[in-house]
Amino acid sequence: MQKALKYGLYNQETREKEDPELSFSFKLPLAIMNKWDRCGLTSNFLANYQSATFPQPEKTSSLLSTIINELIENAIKYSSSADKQITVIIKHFQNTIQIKTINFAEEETTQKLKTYILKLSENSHENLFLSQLEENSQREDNHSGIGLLTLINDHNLKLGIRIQKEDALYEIHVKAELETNDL
Amino acid sequence: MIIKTDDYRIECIDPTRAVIIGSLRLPTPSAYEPHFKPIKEKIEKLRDPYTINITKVSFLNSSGITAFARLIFFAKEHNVPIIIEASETIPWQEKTITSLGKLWSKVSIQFS
Repeated sequence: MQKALKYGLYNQETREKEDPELSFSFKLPLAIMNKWDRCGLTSNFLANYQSATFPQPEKTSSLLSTIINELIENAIKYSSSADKQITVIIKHFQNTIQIKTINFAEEETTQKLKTYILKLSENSHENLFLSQLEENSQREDNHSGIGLLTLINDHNLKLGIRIQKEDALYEIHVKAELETNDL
Repeated sequence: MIIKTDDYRIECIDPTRAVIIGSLRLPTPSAYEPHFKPIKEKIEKLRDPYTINITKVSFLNSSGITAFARLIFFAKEHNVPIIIEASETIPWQEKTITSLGKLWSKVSIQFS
């Protein structure tokens, strides 16, 4: 088996050994998620569920929904075909909420993600965000390429990406962590 | 012109001002084009600043942020200053709109 490519949080896997206070996992078939508004419905549901016990539940829910929605949209855009599914996992540790998506991608889209990781590693996130928007304004490409970047740049999240080849496809894990003290 | 769906509403009747309300999570940047076209049509006829009120936009996904940035670049091409009225109580606006303001010196953001 080829070695996995890891970025960010996946180079510091200490959290995986802790027991979360709350954990749930959702499997979302892409055939269903092709009805695009279900991304938002799913994100709002998961965010509402998770935020109920926070001091400002509405604001927390709004932030979590924004994050979950970007991760789900990202997983769908990088997924291989309609007969697959994506998985969303949310874990609440003592001071941290972790949101993770798992999807399967083909070689070509995986290469795009690898290029993206390289850009994230080599540039300041704000400069990359602004230059990506400027670049997007000059082409008709339908992939904005700023979903994960918005999460890191604007919402102060820690991000991790793990890419592992599995037979003909690549298994892609993306996870984001935010501190509950900020909520 | 008013564009209205179950999730959002875009009003641009006033020649100098648009009001966007609701949750905008369309699948691609180009899916926003027909909805933002009436705003562009107003901007290209103006010399004075154009105001976009988003204080009631609960969500805008990354495709929407890209489409919004394209609006700003369009205004820049026509040298029409943009005023964004935003809400600091909505988490995505507080952070992302501030970042969008850095795209052009003639974008001003008024938080309420």
